[in-house]
Amino acid sequence: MPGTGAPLVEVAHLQHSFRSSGRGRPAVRAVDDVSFSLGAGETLGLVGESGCGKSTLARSVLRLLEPSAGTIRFAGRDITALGARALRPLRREMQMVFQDPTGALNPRRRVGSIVSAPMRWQGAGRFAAEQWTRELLVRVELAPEHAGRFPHELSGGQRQRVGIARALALEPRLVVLDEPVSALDVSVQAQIVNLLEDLQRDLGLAYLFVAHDLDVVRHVSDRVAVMYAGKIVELAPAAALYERPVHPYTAALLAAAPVPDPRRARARPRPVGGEHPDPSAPPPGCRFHPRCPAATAICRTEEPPLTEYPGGRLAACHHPLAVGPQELAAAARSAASPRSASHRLPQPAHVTA
Amino acid sequence: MSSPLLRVEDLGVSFATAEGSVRAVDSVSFELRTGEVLAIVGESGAGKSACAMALMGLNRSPGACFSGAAWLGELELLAVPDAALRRVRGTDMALIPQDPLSALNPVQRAGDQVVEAMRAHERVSRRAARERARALMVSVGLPAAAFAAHPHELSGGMRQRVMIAMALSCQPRVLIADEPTTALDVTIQAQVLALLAELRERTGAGILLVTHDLGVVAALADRVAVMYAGRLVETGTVDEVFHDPQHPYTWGLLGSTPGLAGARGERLAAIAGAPPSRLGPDAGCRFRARCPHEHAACAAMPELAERVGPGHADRCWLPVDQKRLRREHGGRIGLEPRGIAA
Amino acid sequence: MLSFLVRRLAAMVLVLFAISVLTFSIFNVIPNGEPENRMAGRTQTPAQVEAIRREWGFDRGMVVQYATTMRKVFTGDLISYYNGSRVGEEILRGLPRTFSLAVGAALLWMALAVALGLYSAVRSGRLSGWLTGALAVIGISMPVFWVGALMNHYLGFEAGLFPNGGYVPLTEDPLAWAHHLILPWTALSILFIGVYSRVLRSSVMDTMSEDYVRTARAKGLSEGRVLVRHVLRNSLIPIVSLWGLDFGAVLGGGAILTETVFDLQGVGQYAAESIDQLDVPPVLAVTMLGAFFIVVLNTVVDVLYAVLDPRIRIGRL
Repeated sequence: MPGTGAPLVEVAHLQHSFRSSGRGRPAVRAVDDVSFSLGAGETLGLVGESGCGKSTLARSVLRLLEPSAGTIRFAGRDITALGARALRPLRREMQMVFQDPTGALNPRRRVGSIVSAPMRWQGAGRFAAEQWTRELLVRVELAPEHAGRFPHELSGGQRQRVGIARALALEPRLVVLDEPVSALDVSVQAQIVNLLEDLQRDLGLAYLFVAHDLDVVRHVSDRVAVMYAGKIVELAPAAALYERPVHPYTAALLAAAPVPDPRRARARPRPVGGEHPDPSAPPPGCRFHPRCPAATAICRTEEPPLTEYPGGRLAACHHPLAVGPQELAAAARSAASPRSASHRLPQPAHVTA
Repeated sequence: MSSPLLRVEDLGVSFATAEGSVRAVDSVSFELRTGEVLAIVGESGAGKSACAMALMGLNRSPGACFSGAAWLGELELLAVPDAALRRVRGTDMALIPQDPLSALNPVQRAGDQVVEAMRAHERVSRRAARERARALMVSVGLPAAAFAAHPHELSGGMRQRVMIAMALSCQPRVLIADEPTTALDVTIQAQVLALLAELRERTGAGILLVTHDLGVVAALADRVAVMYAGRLVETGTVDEVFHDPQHPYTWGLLGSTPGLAGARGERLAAIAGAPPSRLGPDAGCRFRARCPHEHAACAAMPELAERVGPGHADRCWLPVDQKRLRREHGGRIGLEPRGIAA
Repeated sequence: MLSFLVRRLAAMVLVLFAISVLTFSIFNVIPNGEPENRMAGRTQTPAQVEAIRREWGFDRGMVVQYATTMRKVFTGDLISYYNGSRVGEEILRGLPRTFSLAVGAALLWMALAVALGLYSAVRSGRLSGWLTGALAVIGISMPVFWVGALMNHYLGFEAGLFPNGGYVPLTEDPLAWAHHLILPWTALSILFIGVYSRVLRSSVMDTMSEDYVRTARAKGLSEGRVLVRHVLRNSLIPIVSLWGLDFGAVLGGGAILTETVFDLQGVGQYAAESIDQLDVPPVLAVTMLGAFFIVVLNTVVDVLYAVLDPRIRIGRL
């Protein structure tokens, strides 16, 4: 199903700035000119380290945060400037599941009332809502009796299932999952990942899956976007991105991810040095250049464009990895490039073999 | 073989609650040798942290009850009075905690907190201690400016380096690292793991690594103890446990880890259900209710015994050949026995 | 820092203005006789009354009246409607007394509250911890006029250990000064010790469950050092703002009951007597003085906060 027809979500040159708390300091561009699309029924994984802007981006897509610039189209319709009233019918179609299932559920309401609340806001009758709630609970592999429980009576995994049931209550087409399994134990995490995959298959949901755990993202995603300091640095089909990363940051991230295999773990290269930059003062040029082993003079001054290589691989790097001469010849500047990026495409002389 | 740094025998920890006594840790035994990294791996509530804190004496409270013995050299940690334990903490045995932000005093400068750790045990002048602390902080990869910084001015990785410098301040023989990288980002996590590996080489300290992350275990540990519901269910070298796991819980843990699964769409081998309550007495093997391989003997608690070979122990009644058979037919359980592959 | 102080100063002006308007209006809507008649005295002539009326703006609108009164406040020309005494002089006479009471009591209640709060937090769950907690609650429940009267009667009048009220200036005889103030300090502190020790107790208990306290123990620090260096400093932060406000309130004449019971003749007692007489000028002046102290102390507290907690920077306030 991925990639068929018009995309469900189209984000173009989206920017989100936070006002800085100190006076005289510049606004923090948590998300800085980001473009991507998400097809119906597709999963786009969004990975990056803390402070890279992935959660801000996810929330902006749902208009839970107001973007400072750029456009968001949902099912072909521009929703960037819609007011609260006009947005309301669209809210049915796009839902969110949060990281911390405990914090996201009202501790004083019973599960049944939590799950059915969105239906009642949208005007469903009491009986119909109760009926549908029971079905949903079964759908997320809970028992109908769980409707009478309070969140604190449930385990972490069960609470996250309640969070998912609530998100599904209005039969959305898009679900934004913000670190949905990172607060859970590994065995429970696997249960929830499996459940999310079943639901997607049965209901044709599109997922924007935000996580810092590369393994989980690889497991669930069709395509993966890697963010660094507010920008998308690489976006490619999952298999290609994990097997042949183009951007040195993606490669560093993959190399740093703990491998649960002692033999491979011992053979790991030294981890990349340095730390993610302070979002209020990102480095000029390519934002990864201070940490990048391949960085040259051009990286310090010119922001690389998001370059499209054959196979649907996009990467913003002057010295791309794992790109052959033919692929380089076929490369083109993507329309998803930030406006501030240069027009110079990577040159064969610059390619790091 | 030299005598172990730390020898834990039949350790039990229980806490009094309103519903009754909860046995957090039950008959746990292990040894930690010089320069070795032993990982205790398990999910939340498995009792791994309670175990580590009991060794440091940091969960002593009116409601806590300890049994068994833990020998640090000639000293029995569970029996010594608080005052004697205090002299051991920080000198012979130090803690690297999970969340460095909350583990650092927010109103004290980072360097002062390292200095304080030194001066708690050694008669050194403030000046000399400051010099030593500065050098120590640089040696764990901190910039010189970190000395005078307050914790909130440092990044997560730098904070954890401060904690490590603090732990190293009196050259301890045993380091207890309680989820040392859980709160950190991936690339920083890799840096801290590399630092810990280097320290083990440089100082020869034994590291007791408490974690839920099999990736961290694979990167750092020599031996693993898998803990489930308060008991060790499998112990052995990392290669043994990852490549020839014996306990069905270990199978489940490895199967649940997405890094070991194949591409998109392949189902993870999740473990159904949740860990049992630890209020009443045991009804047989604690993993029984969640185990797909149950048979008659499971109604009795199996011993942690070396069933496959010396040094590799497990707590499961299934005969070894049966386990191998089931693993071959049960899909992905553990890693394929293979060399270093891409 | 400078911009912080400037903003605070502006806020203070605003607060003082609002408070003066409010106080002034309250006394203008409640019946308080004709002030010009009261000021002219018993042997008045119509000409005198007319002069007073013109001087104070009583013949004009409220705004002019307010402006005239405020001008008098700041030039020190304000006089009582009741007996014609100069309000500024009265307040200056009362201030050293109120200061003596406030400073002594604030130190006393802070010191005892820290000791009691720390002790009851450390011993919580045991009988001694429970007892100190109960003591604090009893302290909170005892009104100052009652405790003060009891003390005055038994310790002052019956036992003769302390003078029966009154005040001796510090410069005249420091010993007599302290001797006269011991009972008022104690009476005023009892309430605050109760409140403060409860707040500190819960703050200490929160802090003790923090990870960095565990770190301090893991370093092998002695329990006393853990308490002082790591627990107490962090626990005191929330108390500081409370203390600043209460201290400011007492300085500004808030300890009306204590001052009156022990006949200290401080600013608070002056305010109380003026209210009795519906004497607007002194009440207005004392209220503004109180507001001034509270705003000043609030600023001091904010600076103190930043000193105690480096996460708060003055520039961000």
